[in-house]
Amino acid sequence: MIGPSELATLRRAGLIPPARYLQAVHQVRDEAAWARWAGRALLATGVAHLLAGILFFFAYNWADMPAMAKFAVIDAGLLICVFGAWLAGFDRPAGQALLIGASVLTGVLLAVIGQVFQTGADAFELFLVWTVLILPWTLASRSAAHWLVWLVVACTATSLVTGQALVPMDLVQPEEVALPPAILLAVAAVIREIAVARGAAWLAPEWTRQIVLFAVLAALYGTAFGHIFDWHDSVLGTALFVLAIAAAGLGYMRVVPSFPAITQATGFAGLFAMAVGVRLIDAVIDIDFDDLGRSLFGIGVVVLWLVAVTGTVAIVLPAIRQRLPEGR
Amino acid sequence: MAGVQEFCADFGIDPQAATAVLEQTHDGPDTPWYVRALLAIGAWVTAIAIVAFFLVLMGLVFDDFDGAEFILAGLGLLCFAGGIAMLATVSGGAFRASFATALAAAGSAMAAAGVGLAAESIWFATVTSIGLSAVVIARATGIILQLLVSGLAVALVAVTLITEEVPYFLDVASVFLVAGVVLWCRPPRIDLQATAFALLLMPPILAIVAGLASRLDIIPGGWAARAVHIALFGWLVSVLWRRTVEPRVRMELAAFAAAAVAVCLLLPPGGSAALVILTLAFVLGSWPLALLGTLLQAYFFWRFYYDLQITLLNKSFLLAGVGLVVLACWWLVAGRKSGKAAS
Repeated sequence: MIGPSELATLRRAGLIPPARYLQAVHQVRDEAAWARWAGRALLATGVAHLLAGILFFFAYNWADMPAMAKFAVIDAGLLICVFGAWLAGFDRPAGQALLIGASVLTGVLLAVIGQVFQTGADAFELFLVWTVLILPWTLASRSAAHWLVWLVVACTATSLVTGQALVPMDLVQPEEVALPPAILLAVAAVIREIAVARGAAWLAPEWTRQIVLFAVLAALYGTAFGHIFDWHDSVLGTALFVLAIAAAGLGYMRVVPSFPAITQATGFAGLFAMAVGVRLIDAVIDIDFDDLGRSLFGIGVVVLWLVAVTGTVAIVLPAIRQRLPEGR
Repeated sequence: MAGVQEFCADFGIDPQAATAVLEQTHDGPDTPWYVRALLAIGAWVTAIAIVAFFLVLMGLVFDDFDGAEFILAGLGLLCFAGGIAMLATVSGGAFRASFATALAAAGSAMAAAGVGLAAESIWFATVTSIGLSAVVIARATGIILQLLVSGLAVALVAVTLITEEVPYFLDVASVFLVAGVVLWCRPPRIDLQATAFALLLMPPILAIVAGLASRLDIIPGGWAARAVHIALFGWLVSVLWRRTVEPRVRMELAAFAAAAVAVCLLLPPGGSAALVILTLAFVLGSWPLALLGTLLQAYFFWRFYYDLQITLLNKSFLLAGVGLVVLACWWLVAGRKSGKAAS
């Protein structure tokens, strides 16, 4: 069979003239998948622009517009979205887009309530209420994009609760503010895998796995990196990072095989190994730019360590790929 | 996916020659793009450490930095040549390949910096970097090194346009987008994919930098860039147009082209460059380009909020208008599909 990589090989061999390359691409690409993608990209782009327009409008806080008119516009929008979604079908693309619209408008409504009545509520309270209110619509729409929107709102709520409530109460250290959202995302990643295993096809697209895994590992890596370089002393962040890497490595190798997910985990593990190595080399050799000879030796060792890590990743990943089932 | 026989018959290729080429070069599954990206990050970090190593070495050897820029350029060229030579002789050694790639990338950066400092002109650094990219391409030393060295050259062009206060730099940069699209759509026999990727990235990255640098005393331009983006849209849509004979699909394409023109005219040039990349991803069936275009689009969307040229109220009308145009286009496409399903 001729796929994109075989096409590139034939092109490099000069068997396909440049002028006919696009025609060849057209013949081998997955037409149905790209047609679906184009339809969804158009819908997502249109909805995102329209909702952003509405958000910007209320963020402008137009003084000439009476408060009741603001509420009327948002409530009417909410009703149209929910009724329209019901008419179109909650799990049809148009219905899903309308329910996403309803979810965003709920946040706008809460913000305008805060603007008009000056409730004095903290931002975390708004986001918490928002997270809870839109959960039923998220589940009803059975849309991966809606789930992602909900996750962003929930993560923002968790970050704000941590920063505005848990840190002042000394329940979480300031340097660990990224940990609660990371834990929430890790739980979401596990729930996603369980839901997909039980037949939730709407969560099955690979990007839903990759985006959440990246967010978990990036959030934990930031905290672990700071700990390694003594910017703070949060051992918990480093421990959670190592745990997450181990769990991702095992889980995506044995339980739900996924080479892209293993590549992410290996990449973050490699970056962690680089940071730990640099820190250890500095601790042992004491790289000090007042002593250039010592620095030269230290940086030389760092270069060798970085080459070792990159080379190991280059060897390990193809070996892992060969052990995974075809196409995973 | 298409069968080899069927594909060869369509393109007038000798099936035996095609099979021989595929068997000759096929030594296991291709390295996915995300693994290459990961290895490029590793090489990039290592290259920074190598540059630091040579700077410290120079500090150790020379008491006085007078004329050190020539030494830096010379060392850079030596490293570059050494890395290229190692890559040419490596057969499967991952550690040697990692080191050689990082060494050549570090060498190109040091050579460009040395020449630029010696001439006291960033133009010279940029030209040197472009020259070294040409060497990497000509020697076919691998896609990761090509990405790093071409990326550096393109980044230097972007920095030069801003630091030298070239007026209408956004319009100038749109030429790079054209070059990138042409290289993706009409690729020569020599593998230029990494360079094409760097060229595509240049205009949006430049728009990001220009957006972040709020106190530029030059006219950034943008209208000519928008015109170029519209022309690229037109060309990409014409490619799809020629592949279809169904009148309804052609009507959809026309609607999409009209929507794209409206979006290009209304949005900042960085955003419309990202839309060109998304359309290119669709034409080529490339997931990495689709991801890149989506990320850039999300960034420009977020950045638009902080654009101080127009008020939030006007922005809201603009965004809502664009949203309605795009949704109308989607409705046309979705309507056709549901009509098809019903019949």
